[in-house]
Amino acid sequence: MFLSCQKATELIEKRQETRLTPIEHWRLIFHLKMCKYCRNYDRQSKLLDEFFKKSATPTEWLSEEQKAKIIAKLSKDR
Amino acid sequence: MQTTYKVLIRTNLSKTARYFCARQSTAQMADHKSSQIDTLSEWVQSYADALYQMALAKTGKKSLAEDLVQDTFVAALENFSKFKGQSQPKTWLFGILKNKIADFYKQQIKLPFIAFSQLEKKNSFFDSNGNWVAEQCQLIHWENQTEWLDDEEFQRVLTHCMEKLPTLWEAILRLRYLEQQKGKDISVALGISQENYWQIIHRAKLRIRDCLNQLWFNKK
Repeated sequence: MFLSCQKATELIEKRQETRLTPIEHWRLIFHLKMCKYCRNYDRQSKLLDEFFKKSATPTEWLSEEQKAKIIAKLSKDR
Repeated sequence: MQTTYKVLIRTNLSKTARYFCARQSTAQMADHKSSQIDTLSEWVQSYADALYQMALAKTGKKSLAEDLVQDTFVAALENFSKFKGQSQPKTWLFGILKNKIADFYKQQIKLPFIAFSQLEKKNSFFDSNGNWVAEQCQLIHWENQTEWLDDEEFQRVLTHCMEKLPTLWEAILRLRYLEQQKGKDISVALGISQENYWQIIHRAKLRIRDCLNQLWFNKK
């Protein structure tokens, strides 16, 4: 009946991907009610999602040098 | 008799026609090639930045992203005849780049799988009963700390933590968050099961959480 913390935190991640079965769902809810460490993981897992998404947008451009290099390579066998 | 004659003439005619066509097309092809190069050079100016950003987001390595973009244009030139103008040039180029990136990761996958179980044993967050080990039981709160998202130093630490992951894990995180691909697509692309996929996300998050706790949140 009782989930281990390892299993509970696994389900926290699985929940993002697929629907949990009703049993999994209620066991997780129950576990989170009881366990402050896993509640903490749950919150931090969501923050990690934010962190990752935030670091997702690179604003770098390809240098003009690199572009010239590519064009030179393409024109090689003209 | 007469019909045989007609057939003979017809085949000879078509042979001659084919010969002329072939001669003409060699001349045209050189011309063609040249105009293809011109078109692609224009595309380099218009789309290389966008392609580079995607390659960088997916791989996180500048020199690698540069190579992938170059490979994309070289492949585009080779396969130019397949581009029929039915799709936008941008869409077509992005398609090629996606394949190049997938190929790159497929090569990478073969390595980290071996290290996978070894690393797991060494760096355990749970005891044999699946309970948090003692050192994981400090409640370090991250709440109300989202302003750190804009902190360059924090970004540097986060990148550092991500780079310490096995390549496959890092690849999965990048595909998921940076490309916002669906779990199903990622697991298919990388040839792992769906269950394996979210288990890796789980372990990767445990590691990064731990890494951030040590390098960032504990210091504050």
